[in-house]
Amino acid sequence: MAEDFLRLAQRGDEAAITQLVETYQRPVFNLCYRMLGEPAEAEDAAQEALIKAITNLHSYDPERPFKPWLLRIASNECIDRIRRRKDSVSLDAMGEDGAWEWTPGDSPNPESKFLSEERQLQVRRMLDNLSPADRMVITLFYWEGMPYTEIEAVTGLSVSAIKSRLFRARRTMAELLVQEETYA
Amino acid sequence: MREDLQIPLPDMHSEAWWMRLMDDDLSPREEQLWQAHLEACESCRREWAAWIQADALMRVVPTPPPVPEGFTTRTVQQIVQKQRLRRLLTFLAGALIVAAVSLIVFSFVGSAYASLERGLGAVISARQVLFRSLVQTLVSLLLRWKTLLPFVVGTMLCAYVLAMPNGLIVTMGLVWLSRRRQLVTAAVQ
Repeated sequence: MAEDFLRLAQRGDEAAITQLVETYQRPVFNLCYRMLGEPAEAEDAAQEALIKAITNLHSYDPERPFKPWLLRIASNECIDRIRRRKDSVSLDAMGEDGAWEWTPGDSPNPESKFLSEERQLQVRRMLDNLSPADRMVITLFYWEGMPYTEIEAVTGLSVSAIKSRLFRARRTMAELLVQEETYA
Repeated sequence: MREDLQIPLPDMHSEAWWMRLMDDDLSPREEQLWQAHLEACESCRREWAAWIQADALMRVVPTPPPVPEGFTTRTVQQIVQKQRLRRLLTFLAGALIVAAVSLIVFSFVGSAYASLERGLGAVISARQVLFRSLVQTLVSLLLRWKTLLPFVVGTMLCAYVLAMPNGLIVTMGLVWLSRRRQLVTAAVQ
């Protein structure tokens, strides 16, 4: 991203702002959707993140890449939203209103659809048991397919801290699976 | 065999070991040891199975829907509005500060305007000083930021108008007079 281009956006040049939004809306929206699980909330979060980023371009260091900086703002926005809704979220509403859709399999018969919904619920339950920061690391690692160095750039955590968080999150998820199997 | 005895066995219940496991960071020899341990340790076997299951669940990526229609336009509009509002607020804050400083300065130097001659002298002298400092400030800001920020220009003009209303009138009058003189000279010639 050319420095001049960002400077134009900072000065309020509408064409530059539009270009910036068009370039980065997809990765920001994807991250928000995967973090929050609901398209409407993801849209709000993505919009808020882009607004915050572009109206605060003066705090961006042009020596560093722009995308991780932007994704960090988006991830913080998602973490805040998860914290706010933590007590009010209902597991009953999961899977409705277009919440989290997986790539359809080869045979979308009723049985596989049921299994897919079950899997969604299971993943959601697991993620809801993680702290927002651990959830962010898990999302970036598994669903955004980022290596440790990229996660480091987005979250600001050191690689060892990321590994530690990943470990903790995976252990929590594994324990939940064991518990579920025990109760089943 | 002697080699095995020299290498200490890793603690397979430690966090460090499990982190390496998940990173697929074991040597072939360690992998063998791990498999042997799994056969012997029931709790590790169960836990490892759950880890693999959780990992497999997470590796199925949810596909996000397309970005909603009109998202770009709505976002850009909000950004532009927010930027305008911020600029206006900054300008107003600057103007308020200048007005406050001007009031304080006038309350101290008000006695200079007690008589007309002294007042006129002060106005003309202050106008020149202020105008020169205004130009110098603007030029230095231009050189520093390489930009003509509306905030800077606005604040400076505000300072000029608020601090020297008489000076402004005098300046406009002088400009008007010099233009008239040029017109008259041109007509005569």
